[in-house]
Amino acid sequence: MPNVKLPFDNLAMFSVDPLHSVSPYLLTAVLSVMLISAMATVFSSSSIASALYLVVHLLGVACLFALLGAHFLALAQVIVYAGAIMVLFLFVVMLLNSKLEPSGSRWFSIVFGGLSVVLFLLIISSKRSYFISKSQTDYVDVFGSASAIGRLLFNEYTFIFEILSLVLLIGLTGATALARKHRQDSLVNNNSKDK
Amino acid sequence: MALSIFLVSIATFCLGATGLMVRRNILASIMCIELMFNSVGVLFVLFSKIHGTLDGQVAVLFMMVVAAAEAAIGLALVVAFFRTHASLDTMKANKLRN
Repeated sequence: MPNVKLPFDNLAMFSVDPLHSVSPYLLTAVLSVMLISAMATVFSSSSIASALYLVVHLLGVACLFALLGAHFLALAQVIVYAGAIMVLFLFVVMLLNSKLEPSGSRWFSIVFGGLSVVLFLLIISSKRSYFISKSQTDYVDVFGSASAIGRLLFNEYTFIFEILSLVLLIGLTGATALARKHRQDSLVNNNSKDK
Repeated sequence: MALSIFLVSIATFCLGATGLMVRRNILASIMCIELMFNSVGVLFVLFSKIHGTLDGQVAVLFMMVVAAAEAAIGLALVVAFFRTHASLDTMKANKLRN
């Protein structure tokens, strides 16, 4: 439909839907989980609940990446974001929030912990071919796979890749320098008596 | 369908920006920044799918690296803030005001 009139001309690209292979129910579920957990992240009062809702949001984003065909990015999202960065966040939250209020009822956590354990056992005991179909494992070099992204990354974006290693190095050095205790005092007078 | 992903991404970005301005806990502010980062990443992947090129996904990979460095520095700043102010309230950061 090239002649459809939309409020903005740039939105006309949405009239041709490239996502016809995505199940709309699954997409609706993932999007609603993302929206609800984002709202819970912003509006929940305790920061540890915010961090846990943010983990849910990041897992929803990973599911959306997988639905959009970015399989390698979905894995990287789970490992880097929901794994590494959020564990760092939870460390700092638990380090600094000394006043964690005791939760009243435990049945909520018991029910959800039991549900997640049952889901995990169902997943690992079910047939592997239900989750990874044979036709998907045959094509290694499809759109969004690790080899396709790596080929683009090391051919066209090599310079940016090297610059990013410098960014990581500077970030590491800066975080270490910021988290040190009394860095200026230790530089000026090494034998300061008060801490 | 693509439009709904677009709208959810915009809504998530606006939620993150709202939380960044509304929340007074400095850790929650950094979490809202991560929320905004992720909504931009969703847009990158969506348009990479629409245009059929992989450059958007490479950009999201770069963005993850930058977000990791940003989280490390931001959390170190939070620890330094907590050490000097003994609190996580952003309203306490007013030493330059007077």
